[in-house]
Amino acid sequence: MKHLAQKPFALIGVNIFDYEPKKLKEVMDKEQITWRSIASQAVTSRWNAGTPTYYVIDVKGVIRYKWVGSPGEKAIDGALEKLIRQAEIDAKSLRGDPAEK
Amino acid sequence: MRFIIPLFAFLGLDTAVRGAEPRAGAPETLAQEYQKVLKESGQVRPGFRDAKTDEERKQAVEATGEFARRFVKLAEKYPNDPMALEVVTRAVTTMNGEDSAITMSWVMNKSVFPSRSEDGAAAEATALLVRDHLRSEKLGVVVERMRYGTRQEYETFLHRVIKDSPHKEVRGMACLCLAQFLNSQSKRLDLLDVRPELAIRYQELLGKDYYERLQRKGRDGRIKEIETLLEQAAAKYGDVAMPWGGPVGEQASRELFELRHFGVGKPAEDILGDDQDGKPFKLSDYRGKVVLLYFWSEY
Repeated sequence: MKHLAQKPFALIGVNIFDYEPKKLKEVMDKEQITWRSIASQAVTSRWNAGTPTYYVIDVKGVIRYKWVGSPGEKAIDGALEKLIRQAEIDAKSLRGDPAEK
Repeated sequence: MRFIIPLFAFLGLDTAVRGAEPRAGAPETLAQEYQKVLKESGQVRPGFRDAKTDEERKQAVEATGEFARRFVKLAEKYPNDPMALEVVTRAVTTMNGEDSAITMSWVMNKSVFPSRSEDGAAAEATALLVRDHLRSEKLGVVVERMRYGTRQEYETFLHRVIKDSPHKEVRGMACLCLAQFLNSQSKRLDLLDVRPELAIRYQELLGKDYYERLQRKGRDGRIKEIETLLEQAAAKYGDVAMPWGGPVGEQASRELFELRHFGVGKPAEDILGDDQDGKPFKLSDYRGKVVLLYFWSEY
């Protein structure tokens, strides 16, 4: 996913326990997790997530993919690339549309 | 130990052990034959988990399919035996094992891939269940196992159970389990969007006819059907207890809620919290970006 660093993309982690930020940071350091995370049991149960669960959300905030258990790196990358490409095309056509100016 | 063995015998807990050893001259019973096949199935080497090569994994899958068929045949041979239902249930779990080993081999194998045996075992198993056990109050056990399966015969069978079982408990389980069964097939097909190369594999796993039928329904059609079943489970069978705890209604409502509020195509609910640096986090701040929300734990 490193190649997505320059793209309109964010990886957000939700740790499934109720850790205070300090404890969360400790766990993340230990696990070498570098992406922004929160920790919440309430969010986990509301989103009906076990570990690992992945949700892919598009630029409009709509859930586009959901996987309980890893679908494989290829599937995740494929989904992200598809949505990012779509977002870039949409952004371009918006800029090109005189009605928007 | 000497005191314990007669106690077990008294409680009837040793039937499984006794059944494994046919007495000379006596006709074999279902219990004896069943134990024999069970024992053999446990002795297959290498099993899928210890298989080292693609070929070995393929053979392990084929062996599993073969045992499923043998269990069905056994149950067929002793239609009036009280143990027959247990043996068909074993056939179903064995087919589930076969199917999940097939999907695991897609990840592990490089050259050859096992495919599902085309021996009609699922058709025979469900025909047997309809013929001999449709009115059984114990049918819930095999119904519950089917939600982990992939065979189209299960869908037909579960519909039949919802329609014709005289027991509310069994109908309730069938209703919930059919929804769960269909949901897991639907999720498989969803994956094709990002992994189109799996189409050929799913055709093999589900059978071409069933694969095409599910595809024709489309995602919206499939979800609608699942929702309808879950609504029915919640409304009609809400108070039916599930064997693993909790009522059917609660489980059905939970799954409905998920489909309606956290399903694909739904707007993501906002998340508020504090991040690892104690800074306030808001999911909606990321509008305009594609977000991968990853639920993780250190365990």
